[in-house]
Amino acid sequence: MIVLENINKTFNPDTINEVKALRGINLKIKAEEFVTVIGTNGSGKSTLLNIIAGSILPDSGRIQISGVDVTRKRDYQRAKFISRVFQNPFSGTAPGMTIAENLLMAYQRGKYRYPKTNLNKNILDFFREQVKSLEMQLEDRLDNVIGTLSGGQRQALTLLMAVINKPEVLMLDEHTAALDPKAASQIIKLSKKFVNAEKLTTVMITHSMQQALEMGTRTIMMYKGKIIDDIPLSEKEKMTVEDLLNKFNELRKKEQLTDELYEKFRKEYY
Amino acid sequence: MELWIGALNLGFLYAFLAIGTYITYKVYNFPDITVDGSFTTGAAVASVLIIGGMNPFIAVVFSFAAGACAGFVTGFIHTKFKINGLLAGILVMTGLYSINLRIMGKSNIPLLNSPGFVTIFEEYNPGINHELWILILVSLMMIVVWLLLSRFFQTDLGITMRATGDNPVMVSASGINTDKMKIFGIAMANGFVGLSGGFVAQYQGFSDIGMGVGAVVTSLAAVIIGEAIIRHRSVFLKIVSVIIGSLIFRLMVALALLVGLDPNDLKLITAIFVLLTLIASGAFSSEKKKINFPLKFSLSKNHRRLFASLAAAVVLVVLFFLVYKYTFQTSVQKKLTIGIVIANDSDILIKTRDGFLSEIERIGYKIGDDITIIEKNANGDIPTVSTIVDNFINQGVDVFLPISTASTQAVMNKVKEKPVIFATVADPFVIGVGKNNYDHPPNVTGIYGTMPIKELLDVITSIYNRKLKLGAIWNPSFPNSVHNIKVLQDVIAASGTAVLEGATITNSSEVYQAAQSLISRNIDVFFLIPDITVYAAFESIVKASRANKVPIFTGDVERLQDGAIAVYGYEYFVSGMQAAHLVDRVIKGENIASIPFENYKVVTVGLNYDIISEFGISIPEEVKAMSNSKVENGKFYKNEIDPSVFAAPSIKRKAALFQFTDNALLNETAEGVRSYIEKNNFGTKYNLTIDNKNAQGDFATAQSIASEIVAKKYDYVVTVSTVAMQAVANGNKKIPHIFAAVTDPLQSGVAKTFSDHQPNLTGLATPQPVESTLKLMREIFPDAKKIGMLWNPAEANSEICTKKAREAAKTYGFILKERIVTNTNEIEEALKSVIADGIDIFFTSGDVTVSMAVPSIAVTLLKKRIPFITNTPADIKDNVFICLGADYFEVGEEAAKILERVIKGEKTEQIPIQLFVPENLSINLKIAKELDIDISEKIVSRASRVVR
Repeated sequence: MIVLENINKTFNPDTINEVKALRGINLKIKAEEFVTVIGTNGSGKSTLLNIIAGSILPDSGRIQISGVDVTRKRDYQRAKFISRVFQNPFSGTAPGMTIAENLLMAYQRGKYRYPKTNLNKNILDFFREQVKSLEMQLEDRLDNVIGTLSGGQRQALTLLMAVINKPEVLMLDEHTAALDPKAASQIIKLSKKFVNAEKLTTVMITHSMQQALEMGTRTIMMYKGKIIDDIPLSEKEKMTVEDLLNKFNELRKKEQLTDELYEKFRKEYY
Repeated sequence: MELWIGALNLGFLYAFLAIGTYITYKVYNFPDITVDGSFTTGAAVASVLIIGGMNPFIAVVFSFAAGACAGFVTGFIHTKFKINGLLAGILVMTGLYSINLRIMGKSNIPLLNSPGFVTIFEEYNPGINHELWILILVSLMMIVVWLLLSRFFQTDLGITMRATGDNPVMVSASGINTDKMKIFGIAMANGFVGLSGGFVAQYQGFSDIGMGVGAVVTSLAAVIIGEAIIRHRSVFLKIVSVIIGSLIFRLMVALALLVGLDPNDLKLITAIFVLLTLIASGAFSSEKKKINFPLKFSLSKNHRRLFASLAAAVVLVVLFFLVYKYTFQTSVQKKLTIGIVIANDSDILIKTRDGFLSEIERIGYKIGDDITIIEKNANGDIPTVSTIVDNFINQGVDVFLPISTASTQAVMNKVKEKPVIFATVADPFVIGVGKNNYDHPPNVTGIYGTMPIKELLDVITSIYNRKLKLGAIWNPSFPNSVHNIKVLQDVIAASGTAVLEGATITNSSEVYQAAQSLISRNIDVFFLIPDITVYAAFESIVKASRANKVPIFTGDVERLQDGAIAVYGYEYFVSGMQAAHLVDRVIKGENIASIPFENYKVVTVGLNYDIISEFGISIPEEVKAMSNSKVENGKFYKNEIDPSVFAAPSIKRKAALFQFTDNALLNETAEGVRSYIEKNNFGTKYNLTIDNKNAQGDFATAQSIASEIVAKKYDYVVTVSTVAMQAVANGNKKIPHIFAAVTDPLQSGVAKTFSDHQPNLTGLATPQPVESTLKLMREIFPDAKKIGMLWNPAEANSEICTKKAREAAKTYGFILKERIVTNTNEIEEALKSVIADGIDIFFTSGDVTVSMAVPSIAVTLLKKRIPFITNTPADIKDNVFICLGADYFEVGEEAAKILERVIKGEKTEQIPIQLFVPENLSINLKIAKELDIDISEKIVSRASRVVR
């Protein structure tokens, strides 16, 4: 489904701020796979997501999605394959517009827009049905402006918008990190529900090791712009958070990482 | 009520502009300054197209398109080159200034005599008040636009546009190229702005290069006012709020004028109002921080809405109260009211007003007792001029006194019946007020004139007595300046005593540099035409002048004390005085339709002896004798003006100038008549008014004009063309009649011989100079044998010419090869056949049928290498080799001279008809070269026009 070949990306090259965000990434994600990505800050996991989505173009390497070479395609051109949910619940929705209008935008993802009125009763009924599945009592507020909703509600809507027109790839970018614990668990529940129901190919970045193990069929660990571990489902199922930490410790020795880094990793994920 | 309806109309038309700003600023969150330029672009495009004859409603579609193009450019450079939006707008706006000037070709286009949408609306007026009828239709139009636009914003595309402004990241994630969306939206917004400009230009009757200045602020004010009054997320209500905001803004301007606020303060009031509205609406809408009112009064959402509606209601009630009060008050007024409209604060306009006020009092009117004078100054803001006029109409002003060209345009556009007397206008004809001093709208007269450039040049020439290099500085965005420079160029070309070095500027800070650049180009003197921008920095020219001893000559007497060495021109104070006398005549009941426009009557010639001695320049005695004011030892002296020069002449005479149709020849003749009459001040010298009549080529009309002339008992009649002469001569045996542009009066039956003619008429016979033409052919082509000629026997005049040609051919040893044509379709065939005869020269004389095909005949002949010679000077531009014809302008002048003799008392029966053929030779040397014709320098030197 997604194939990354030898992807490199450097920010601010040849300056003192030079950052080698990705170094020779090779990754194949099969259809219906659910990959969780973990790594410390600055490990390149967000850059990886942006490279797949097309918000950032790579310096070298090739990207294929569904067999199509999209290496040089911009984000809006890849939008017919990919939908995203951002960390910031305010990024995924237009605050000044109604729930229905936002859903329409998402529903027509990847299509041309004409001066034609499609926001009719049929489609509103369909939206109402979909919003009902969020179980947030928003189905009667389709005409409300999104700016008046809470962060959890907005993120739930963003998630719905991401899946309403079944995408080939769903990308979740720490999408619960900015929410309170109750809202976060609600969103996680919804994410699992949607992914399972639609059998979506999914890439999710997370900061919670618990989430990383609990969710998905595969976990990859990133460090300094490289994938340093790739844990398949069979292994994941048996693992505890403690195992994961130990595994990282081993890798640390193998890759000659410092103790300091282990500490950092433990703090961030524990 | 006119004032309020006018304000509402302006409000509706400016609402399109506000909609444009709403789209960029509110939908896209993009402060777009392009509108200052695209508004004018829309106006310029509409004006040019309407002048060209296009339907006004189709013209505004092009305004929309032109505005959209401007917006597209802004959007494109903003998104593709990542240039800051404000900067992109400023860049495009700045560039548009030049483009707008290019489109308009000059800085102001009058639409006074062109049908705008107002004229079209008026055709369907069932008989209600003019402005009210416009209001009804304009508001209907607005409702349609409102519904369509609101509906548009609910379509997929509209929703996407709104989302792009709201959250571009999300829109991009849904597969939309946000750059394209932005470009589209900015283009659409500026399309509406252009549309607004197109409509406003038609409504106010002209477009002006400066009309877009401040468009962004006023439209922003409208958007914000609207938002403060109606706050609702529905798109329908949002767009309504913009329209209402625009209406309220214009009503506020009208109100401010009505209560007597200085419009100069209006800008400050607008700014404060917008600021207060912003703060207040912030208090109503901010979700996080509620501003607590005293008494811990916090507003809930419903209360907020209630509060806003209340505030709106209060504003409306206050508005209506004031409207009622002032409309009521003004209707009580009984005294004669004179309304003075001043466009801006420039010195010359203020002086005009002062001159008017002082003279009207000297004549004997007591201001306040006998007459009421109200005065409003628009401070340079064009829409304000229009509102001032509405205000005056509303206050029941009886006599309008617009000072300056812009004020006159605005007044002319709205005032169709009450008397209008303008002053300090350079050229009323370019703005479409009348055709000449006598042929003007029946409710308008006034004082005009431009600086006497030729006379000043003569003074300079008599001081220096050698060829001079003159330095001129002007701002090309003022039509008057450009006009004056053109006049100066023509005068210089005609006199040959000087050459011109020019420097153009766009604001007064550039003047000093321009002056220095001219000095570095070794000019001998500064020759300054009146230009507000240049005069604003006059001191900097004086600085350059004194440092290099390059004296300044100008037309404005006020500049004498500032450091000009000599002035020759008109005092604007006098313009005002003169206007006071016209107002006096109108008040005393004289019919304004028969009061001709007046040129300035007092010339000021001033010398600055301080500068003269400082520069060591000697001034000839005759120049000193001419001067009537001077500066000596820093003090200004001037001779008193004798007000009797302003008085109207006592015996009234009227003449009709009757021309049969509008062709180049007759127009030139009529122009010659008028020019002589004007130059020699027939108006003031003989109290003569001239009515222009034109039958537009229609014989029946010619007849009725002739009988009208007899019935209305004109004192004199001048006819131009044979038909006009015949029509008048037929029915009129009494009124002295002078004819011109007639080939052969004897054939036309009005005379037996040149001295034995119908007793009440005389005039000029101007045949085509056929004989001289053949003589000239012999001179140039000593070996030529055959002349080809086509003619239409149905034309009497052509027959005469052909007969003459036959005789002359014998005299000069040519063989004439003739072919007959009866219409233009036969010309090509006939031409081929005559060429086949082996002709050496082709000739056409006074034949109208053949003259229509001159350009194509010229092409054919050139291919066959046969020289083409005609008797019509204008043909030279169509690649004819030689044209030997009569100069009909001179013919017209000569006819006016006969008229003058008749006015002075000579009897027509004692004046014989004159054969008058002022020969005018034009030669195209390019063709001579191409055809290897050897043409002697002696012949070339006789030509008044040579194409090289």
